[in-house]
Amino acid sequence: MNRWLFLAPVLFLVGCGQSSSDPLDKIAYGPGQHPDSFKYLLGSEPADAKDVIALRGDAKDGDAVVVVGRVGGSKQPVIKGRAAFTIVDLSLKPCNPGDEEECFDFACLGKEKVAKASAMVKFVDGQDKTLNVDAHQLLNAPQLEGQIVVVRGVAKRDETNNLTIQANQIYLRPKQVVKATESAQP
Amino acid sequence: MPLVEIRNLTKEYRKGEQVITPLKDVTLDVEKGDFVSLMGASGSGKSTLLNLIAGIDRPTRGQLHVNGTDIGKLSRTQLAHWRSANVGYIFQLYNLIPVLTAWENVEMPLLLLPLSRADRRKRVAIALEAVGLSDRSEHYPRQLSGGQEQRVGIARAIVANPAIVVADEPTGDLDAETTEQILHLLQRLNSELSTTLVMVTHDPNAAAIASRRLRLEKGELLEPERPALLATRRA
Amino acid sequence: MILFRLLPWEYGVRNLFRRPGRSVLTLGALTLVVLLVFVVVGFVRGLETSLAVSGDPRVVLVHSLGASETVEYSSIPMGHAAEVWSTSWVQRRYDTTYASPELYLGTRMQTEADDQPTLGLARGVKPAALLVRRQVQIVEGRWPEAGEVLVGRLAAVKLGRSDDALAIGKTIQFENRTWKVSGKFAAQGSAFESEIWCPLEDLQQAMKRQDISVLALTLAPGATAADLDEFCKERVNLEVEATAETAYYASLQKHYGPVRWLAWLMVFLIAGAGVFAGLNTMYGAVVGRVRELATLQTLGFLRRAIALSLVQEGTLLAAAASLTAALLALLFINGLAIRFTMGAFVLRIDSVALAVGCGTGLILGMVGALPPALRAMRLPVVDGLKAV
Repeated sequence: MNRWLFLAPVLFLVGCGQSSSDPLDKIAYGPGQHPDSFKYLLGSEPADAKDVIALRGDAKDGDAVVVVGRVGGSKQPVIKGRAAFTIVDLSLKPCNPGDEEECFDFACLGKEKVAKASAMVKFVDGQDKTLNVDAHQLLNAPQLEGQIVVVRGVAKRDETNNLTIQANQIYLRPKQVVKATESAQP
Repeated sequence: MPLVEIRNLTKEYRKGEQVITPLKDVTLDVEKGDFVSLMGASGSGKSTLLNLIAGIDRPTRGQLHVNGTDIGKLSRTQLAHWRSANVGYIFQLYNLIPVLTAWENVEMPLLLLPLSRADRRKRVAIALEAVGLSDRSEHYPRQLSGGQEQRVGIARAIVANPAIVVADEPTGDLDAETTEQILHLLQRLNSELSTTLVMVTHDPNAAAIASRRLRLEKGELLEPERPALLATRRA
Repeated sequence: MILFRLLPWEYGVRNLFRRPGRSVLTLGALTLVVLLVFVVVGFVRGLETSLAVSGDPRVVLVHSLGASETVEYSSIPMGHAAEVWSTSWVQRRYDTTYASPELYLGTRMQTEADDQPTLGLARGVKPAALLVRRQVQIVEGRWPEAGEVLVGRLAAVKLGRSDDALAIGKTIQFENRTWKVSGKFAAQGSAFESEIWCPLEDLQQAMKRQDISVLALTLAPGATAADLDEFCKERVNLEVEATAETAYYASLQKHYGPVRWLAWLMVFLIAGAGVFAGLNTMYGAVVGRVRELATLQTLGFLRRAIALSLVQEGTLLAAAASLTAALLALLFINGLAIRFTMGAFVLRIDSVALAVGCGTGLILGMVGALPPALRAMRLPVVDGLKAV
C-alpha cells in the first residue's frame, strides 16, 4: 500500500493531462487545470516545512521559508477572485475533533487565538501584486478550504508582525495520504 | 347517380358479450329531390339509418355513398367537415343553442364555411324568411314557442344549402296544429327548393306527405311502394 | 395558424351567464384563491426586495472575524476601523472619506405609549452614513443631534406600534436613555427602514462601549471588495474581514430559503384547491350540456373547437377572478407592513407578483376546464344527442 502511495506523485507527473483512475490524483489534481498551475503546484511534498506559529515567531522579512498549514481561519479563507488565502497552524483543533476539513474557520477558539496562528499566502506577479485569479482555479482545487498545504516562498513581515508568504510553489497534501500516514504512525 | 347510395349496409355494436345489429344488410337509393319517410317500431333501426346517412355514425359493413362521397371511409375530422357542407339535421327536440339568438343559431353552420359576413347575413335572412320567422331573429330560444323553435331548427338545417336534409321525428314534440304547419313547411322545402329530405317518424300522417315511404323492421328495410324500381336499379 | 373553425366567442361568454349563481360562486372562490396566492407571493417578493435592495454593490462591510452572518456580535476597535478606512480602496471626495462606522444592536425599546418594552433595532451612525448608505433619504424632519433619533419608515411596525408612536417630537427609551425623534427616513424598501438611527457617540456612551460593530465603506473607483478583504486578511492583527454588502444580504437570503419554499408550497396547495373549484364548475357546465355539445358536433364543429370553447369559458372566469383579485390586492394588500425577526418589510404586489398571481389564476381556469371538456368529447355524437 505504502509503495503505491509513494508512486502517486510520480504517476501524476507521468500522466498529467490524462484521466487517471487513481483516487488520490482526483483529489489534488483533477482535469482541466489552470495553465499556470504547473508553475506553482508541486508533485511531492517539500521537506523541512515549519508550522505557522513557529514561523510567525522567527521568520524575518525576506527569508526563504517552507511552511505547512491548513487553509482556514475564517468562513471564507480564500479571497474571492484572488490568488490569496489564509492558513492556520495545524495545532488548531475545531470544537468537534476530526472536523478540520469542514470547520476550518475555528470560530469557537476565539478570534485572537486564531489570529496568532494565522498567516497569509499569496501568489504575486513581478510587481508584487497579487494575481487576479481565484486560488481555487489557479491551484485547480475546488475545495481548497480545509486543505493542508505546504508552501515554499518568501516571508514578508509588517510593522505589526503579521506574516505573509509570497508563494513560489505549493504542495496540496492529498487528504487520504494524511489519514493513511497518520494511522500508520505508532 | 343517386344522391344516397346504400349497399348491404350493416351496423353492429357490442353490449357486453352480446352483439346487437340495429341495421342488417340494407340496400337503398335516394334520388336528388326525393322526400323519403322512414317508419318503423322503436328499435327497428330507422334512427340508426338516418344517423349513418347524416354521417354522425359509422357503418360496420357495407357501402354508403352520399353526394358522391364514400363517407364510411372518412376520418372523424373529414366527416365533420363533410357534414358541415353536405348535411342539414333537424332534431326532434330542436336542439337550439340556448345562449344564442334565433339569428345566431341559424348562422352557426355558416361559420364552418368559407363565407363572408355579408354572405352569411344574406343567407340567414333568406332562411329565416323561408320559415316565416324574420321578425323573431333577435329572440332567444326560451322566448319562442315549440313550433317557432322547430322552424328555427329547420332554417338552421337548410341555411348552408346542404345536399341532403335529415329530420329525426321533427314533429314528435309538437301539438297537432303545429305539426301540421311544420309538415307543410317541409313539404314546401321539398317541392319549391327541391331539397332532398329523409325523415324518421312514428306518425303515419307525417309519413304520408313524403314522396317515398319506407318501413324498417328489425333492422331490415321494406319498400312496398316502389319495389319494381329498386329491382330495376339493382339490375 | 388555426386549422379548424372556432365556435363564436359570444358562445363562451354567454354560457357564463347561463347559471349566474354558479358562475358567481366560482368567481368568488377563484378570486379568493388568487388573492391568497397574491398574499403569499407578495410576502416572498417583499422579503426578497427588502434583502435585495439592502445590498449596494459599491459598499463593503468590514466586521470582526467570524461575524460575517451576525453583525450584532461583531466588535471592531475604532483604531482598527481607522486603519481600514485609511486605505486607498475607500472613496474620498473633498477630504471626506466615504466610511460609516456603525454600532448596530437589537435592544429593548419602549415608546411613550408602551407599558412594556419591545425588541427594536438601533444603529449608531455618523453623518457619513448618508454618503455610504445611498438608499437612505430623510423624508421628514432632520438629522439627529445629541439625544435624538432618526426613525425608519417601518420602525414603528417593527415595534408593533402605529406610526404616531414614533412621530417627530415623541420620545423613545432604550439603553437607559430617552431619545427624542428628530425625523424619519425611507430607504427604498431595504432592511434599514425598520431601524432607529442615533448619533454613534451617544449610543457608545449609553452602552459604555468604544468599539463599533461594522464599518461600511464605499469602494473607490476601480477598487473591489477583494482588495479590502485581502488587506484585512493580511493584517491578521486587525481581526476583521470584509464582505461585499450584496454578498452579506445574499447570505441572509439563504437563511430565508426554507420560508420561501414553504411559501411556494402554499401557492401550490392553494392553487390545487382552486383547480377543484374550477373543475367543479366546468363539470357542472358540461354535464348539463352534453346534448348541446353533440349538436355542435352534428353541425360539423370539430371536437377540439368545442373543447377550446369550454377552456375559453373557464379561462374567462379565471381571468375575471384574477383581475378582481389583482385589484383587491393592489388596494388592500400592497404596502401592508409585516414584522419579522430581522425587522419589518412591506408586502409587495409588483409586476412579478401580478404575473404569478394572474398566471396562476389563468392556469387554474384552463386546467380546471380541460378534464370536463375532454370527458364530454369522448362521448359518441349519437349517444350525446340522446342525452336528456
